Amino acid sequence: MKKHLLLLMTLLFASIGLATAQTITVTGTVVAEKDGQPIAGAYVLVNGTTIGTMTNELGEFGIRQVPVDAKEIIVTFLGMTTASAPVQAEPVKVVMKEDMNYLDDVVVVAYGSAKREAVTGSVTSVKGESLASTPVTSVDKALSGKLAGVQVTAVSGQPGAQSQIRIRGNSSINASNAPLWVVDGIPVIIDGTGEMTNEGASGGITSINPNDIESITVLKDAAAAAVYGSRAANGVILVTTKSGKEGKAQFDARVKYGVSWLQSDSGFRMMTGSELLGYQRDAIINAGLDPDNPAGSYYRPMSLLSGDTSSWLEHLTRPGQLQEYEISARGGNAKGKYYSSISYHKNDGVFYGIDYSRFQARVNADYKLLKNLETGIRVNAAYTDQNDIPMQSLYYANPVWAGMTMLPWIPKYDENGNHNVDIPTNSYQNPRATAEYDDQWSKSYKFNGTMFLKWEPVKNLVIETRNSAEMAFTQDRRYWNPLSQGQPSDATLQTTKSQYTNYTTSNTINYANVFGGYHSMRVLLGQEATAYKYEYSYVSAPGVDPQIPYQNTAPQSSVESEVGFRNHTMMSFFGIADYNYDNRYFVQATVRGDGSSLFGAKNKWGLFWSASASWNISNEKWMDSTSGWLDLLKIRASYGVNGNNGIDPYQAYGVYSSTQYNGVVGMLPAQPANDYLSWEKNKTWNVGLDFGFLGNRLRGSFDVYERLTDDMLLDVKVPQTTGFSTNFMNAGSMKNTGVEFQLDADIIATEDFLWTAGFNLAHNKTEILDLAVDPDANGLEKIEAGSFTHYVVGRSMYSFYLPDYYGVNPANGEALWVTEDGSLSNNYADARKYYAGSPEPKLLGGFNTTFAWKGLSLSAFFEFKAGNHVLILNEHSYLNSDGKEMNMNQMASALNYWKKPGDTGVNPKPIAGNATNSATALSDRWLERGDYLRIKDVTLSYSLPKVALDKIHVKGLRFFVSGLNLYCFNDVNFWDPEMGVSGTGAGVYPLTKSFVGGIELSF
Amino acid sequence: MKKYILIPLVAVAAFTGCQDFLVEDPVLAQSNELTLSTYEGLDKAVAGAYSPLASAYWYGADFIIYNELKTSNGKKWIGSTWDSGRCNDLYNLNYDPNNTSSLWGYAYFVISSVNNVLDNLEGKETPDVTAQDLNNLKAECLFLRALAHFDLVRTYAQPYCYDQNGADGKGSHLGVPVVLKTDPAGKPARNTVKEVYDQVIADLLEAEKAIDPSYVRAGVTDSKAVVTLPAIQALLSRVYLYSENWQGAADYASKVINDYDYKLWTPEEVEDAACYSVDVPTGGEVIFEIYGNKSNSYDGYHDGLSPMCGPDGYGDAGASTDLKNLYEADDVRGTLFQEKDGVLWTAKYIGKGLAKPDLTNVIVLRLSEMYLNLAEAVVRGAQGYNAPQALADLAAQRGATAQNATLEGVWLERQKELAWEAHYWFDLGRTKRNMTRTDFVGDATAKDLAWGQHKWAMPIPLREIGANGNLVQNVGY
Repeated sequence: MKKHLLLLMTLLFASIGLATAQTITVTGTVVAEKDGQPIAGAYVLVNGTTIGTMTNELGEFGIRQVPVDAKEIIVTFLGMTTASAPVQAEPVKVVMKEDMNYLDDVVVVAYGSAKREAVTGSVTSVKGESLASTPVTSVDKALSGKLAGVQVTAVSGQPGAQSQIRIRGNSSINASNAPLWVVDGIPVIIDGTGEMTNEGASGGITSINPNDIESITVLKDAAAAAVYGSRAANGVILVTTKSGKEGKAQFDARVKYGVSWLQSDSGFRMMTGSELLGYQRDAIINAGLDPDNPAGSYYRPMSLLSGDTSSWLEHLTRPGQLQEYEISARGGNAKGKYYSSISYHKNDGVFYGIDYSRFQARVNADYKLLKNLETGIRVNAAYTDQNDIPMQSLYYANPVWAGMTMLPWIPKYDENGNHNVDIPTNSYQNPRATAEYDDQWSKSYKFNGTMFLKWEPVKNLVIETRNSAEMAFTQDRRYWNPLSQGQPSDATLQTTKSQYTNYTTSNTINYANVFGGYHSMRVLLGQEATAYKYEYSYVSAPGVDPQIPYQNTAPQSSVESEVGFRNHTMMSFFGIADYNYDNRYFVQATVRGDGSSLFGAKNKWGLFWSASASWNISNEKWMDSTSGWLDLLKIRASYGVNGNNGIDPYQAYGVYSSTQYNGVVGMLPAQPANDYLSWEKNKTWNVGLDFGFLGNRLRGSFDVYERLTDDMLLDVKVPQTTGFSTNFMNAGSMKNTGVEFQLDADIIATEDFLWTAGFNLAHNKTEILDLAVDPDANGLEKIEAGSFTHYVVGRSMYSFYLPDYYGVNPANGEALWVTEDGSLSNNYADARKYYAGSPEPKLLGGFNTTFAWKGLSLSAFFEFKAGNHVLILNEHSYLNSDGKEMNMNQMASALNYWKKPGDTGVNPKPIAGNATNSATALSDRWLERGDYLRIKDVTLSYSLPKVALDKIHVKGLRFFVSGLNLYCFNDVNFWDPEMGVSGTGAGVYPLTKSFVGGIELSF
Repeated sequence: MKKYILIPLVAVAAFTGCQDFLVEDPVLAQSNELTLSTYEGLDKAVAGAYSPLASAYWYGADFIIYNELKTSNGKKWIGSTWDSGRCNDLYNLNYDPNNTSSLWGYAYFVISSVNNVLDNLEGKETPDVTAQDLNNLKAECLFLRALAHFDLVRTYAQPYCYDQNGADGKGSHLGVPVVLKTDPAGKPARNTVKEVYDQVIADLLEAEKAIDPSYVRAGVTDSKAVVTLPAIQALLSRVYLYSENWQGAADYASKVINDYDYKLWTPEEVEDAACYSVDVPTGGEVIFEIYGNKSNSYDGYHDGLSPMCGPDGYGDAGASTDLKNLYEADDVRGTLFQEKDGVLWTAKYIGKGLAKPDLTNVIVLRLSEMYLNLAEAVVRGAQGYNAPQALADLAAQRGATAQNATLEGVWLERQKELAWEAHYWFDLGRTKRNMTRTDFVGDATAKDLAWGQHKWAMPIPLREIGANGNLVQNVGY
């Protein structure tokens, strides 16, 4: 590096250097090839010297005292390929060509954008086109499987449902594990409003139309994300929406229609009426009873099959429908540019009573007020309307659950042709009646507006202010109509109203310049402030008049109401410094100070930082020989500390809350003061390699990282002599380590034929290091988060702790359990409990490929997870109950039960009213490997050729048809292997299959 | 162009204002500072500090039930309709650090609540708030702190007179931590039993001095469920008796008997047992009790005293025939039982007929105990009072023959009178008697317990030993 230091010194003294040799003056202009316009600010350097200058506003330059033996000048400018011209006395004209790779190679990063080769941190991005090609409802789903190390897990297949996103694993037990979303430079709220629908609160992300997105960048390591400080620990997702383009207005209109249906690819299904009757009659006989005795406990005569025994699940489902209409306009001139869009999306679920619709409009506009002053707005407004019926759990009105459990011989309709609700075995509920008579809906109004002003008072110095308001208002209603109940009951109403506002101001000063042709630097200083206010009110009104089902008609003594608040603020100061030498050596440092109202008085301010460097080997002179086939070879390394502030407000305060005793209201301490409550810290190092071969037709990256969560927030047990039992304290630690690999290739790229393929793969391992608890009798340090989910030091985030089911006793068909000493017992109470697996996947990734021939294109996208376990304990303990649940239908695989001595590998012998705990929920009998490979999307499209388009005077016309989630290769004995991050999603809406077709027209 | 200079200025202004900007106070709770900064707040904090006493883990159920089921007064009718599985371990003296009384957390919660108040009383006088107003709060706090420490040391330590394992018989063995100031980082070690008693007595003496003799907390439904001068003095009498200060026990018992309007219940008042759930309207015996009501934030619900001690609830806390057989034929206390399908319960918690499950007040201090304290203290050497008279006065109101003024006589009368009021177990312990049971259906090994055995002190909860390394567990656990 000494050489470069010397160079720097030379540069400093260059201006006072004495030219004694013979010299000439070189003058000229620099213009762009495309439009012949002059290029201002291009750097002109005399090759082999340190003499150089910048072009002025007219593209002109002049260099005096150029040695006569100098051969050529070299001109560089961002976004253009380097040009050269001979040294001569006459004025030269340098024409610069656009660097075609350049635009592809610019990625949006924190507070700006950068050439991919200049990025020192771990960053992956995806372009808008590749998101929009899949007809998804929301942005989060579109990311699934597309980016290495970004795990997108579906919890529910319900229209409008949000996914769980984890970047490089889970980092926390009590704080958030979700990444920060930043839309057009402003962080947005993810845990939003809405209290009563199945999916609960949804934030600003769901209101964004995926087609409005230009690009998404995911910042994965500390170097990339640390400038977002206390919110960066779980990674940052930067969303940039489309802005206007100079030129004539272009309109894009899009219409989509699709159908969806429910289907299991692992062969999971319920029993038919005759299968179930056979099963139950066997179970009754096994219990020593007579199924044909009308006075017996279980009367199951063969005549039950004489009526309608069609599937309840079919009765409760319908073909889902999706429709989407959208039009956008994009255009502008030298002064102003605009992009606007309006869309309507409606998705009717596969269950009656479930739908989701969204109206959305966006205006993005930019205007040059003066030559060096620019302003713009980004405004998005949306209205969403969600209807559903209760599906949160194994509830009688839940159509998924009731559809699986209702006995096939129960009539679907009563004698009047109404939905049958006289169903004692299903608590007098029928989901079809629920869908028809009851309410459960959520209506949301969302607005997000950002305005910015950009001023360049002097060359290369940009001052920018960006101010934003995000608001949401949601109304929810639940209403139980007596008509949907088979037994006399009150009409009950519950309503909530919730709203939030989030104001953000973000102000930066950025200075960027290139010195001496080789030294590029940028310094950014910034300040930000955010104020978030959330408020909800709840009213419960039992006993309303069904004719006027509003709270006014309920007996006022029974009406209960409640309000709640969650407010927090944040103030930040930050800086970024970049330096690169000759596009070969890059260093970057970031620092951010965040002050937050969430934390203790003594720890309100936190400091976060990162340092990173990269070396672009392919730009070294000595690599010239490889330039024919090697386009990029870069190694990166980074280290940084960032924070996780994802906790509820007010937890640092010592507070009293009211208590009633002896007819008076007193106050009791409710929460201990914690002046030192602070963010969790994530300390991350990352080493990576980026490469591109053969004209960048084969490109990829490889990353290794470790992410250490320190000061992890835990409810630490404190001595009760303090007056409290626990205190929420920074006490634990956790570690994530992993590798990521991404590879993209343009296998064939000719004028007419294109074949591309991409592949990504990631492995992450979470390990809990410290839980601030003492070892138990077995030496384990653990926190029991539930009856079967434990946090254990040395293990992954979730560990399933389960009784050990062995299988059936071939002699008599009893369930057997493995005991502590390894012997077998037929008594569940004797079963040993052990750590049986974790829902954390060992591998996850995806691959995609596209064939295009002229206007015809076929693309396919696959996604997979491997090495994880799912625990379908609640459902299977009822649906494969060994005869215990005689009032519920059973799953078809339960038919494989013990029938005669010698049978092994089967379900235990069913006994009506089984009391042996053989099918109890807490058992590793329900633990399954969760590996899957999903054909996420196959799309066939045809774009009309230009000749044809010209005839009908349109710019583009495209037809497409997509199959979504077409098939999922898996062995999980259920609807779908995806069961959420915790691996145990209960009773939720399964993922569905769909076909969507559409037309896109540009004019 | 000048106006854009404003941008950095905004940033500077924001910085200077950000100390306020970064404060978001909780809206629906009240900060410690606010609660403890005014008389009104302190007054509410004192009112609130009573609340946990009604918890099912303390006077709301367990403190009574556990201590009675450990003696021949109680019986777990194992196998009956009223055997829900609750209380088996206590009945069988089967407790360990993982399965012990939860009083610890609740008692220290009250101690910490009143310590917060005591630390903030100074200088809160205003034109409307007199020094006496503040002193009354102080007295309530000191009484509650004394009661909590007293119940803790009775539960988790051997009695004051314990003289084994190197103890000197005068409280030199381990008691419980004396906590006089809330310290979030505090990990206090156990004080000796004598130190705990000294602090309890000091608190009560100071409370006696501080309180206005006519003070009764305003606004309460039950004026016997708040701290008053006689309540302070009655508790002092008992604490002196436990710590073998016979003269003190007698002096304070006498004050309570003679200085106030309390009157021994008549046989008619005792007969229907209602006086135990709600005292009679005039006179009455109750000096300090716990108020039972559904609106209490701490309400035992199905695990409360009434449903646990009767056939309409779980009914696990039965009474034994050992107890019933103590009463002579005409003794009105012999009628204080409920009986169904051959199962016996005490009738002292039949409830107020308010709700289902029913609720009862729980007596902590009452007049009869003062007569018995006085009699025992005199038998043991206190001067200036008449023990036979006290015993005769009490027996006369119960339809019983007066006991002789001997230790055995006083002790027997005490068991009969105060059965199922959480006295007998502690009385056995402090008088070095063995616990023996005849009508017993539990584990044979748990039938009797010789005095001095480790089971006379409950183990300190394991979670507490884990969280506070300075605590030493009781011998034997």
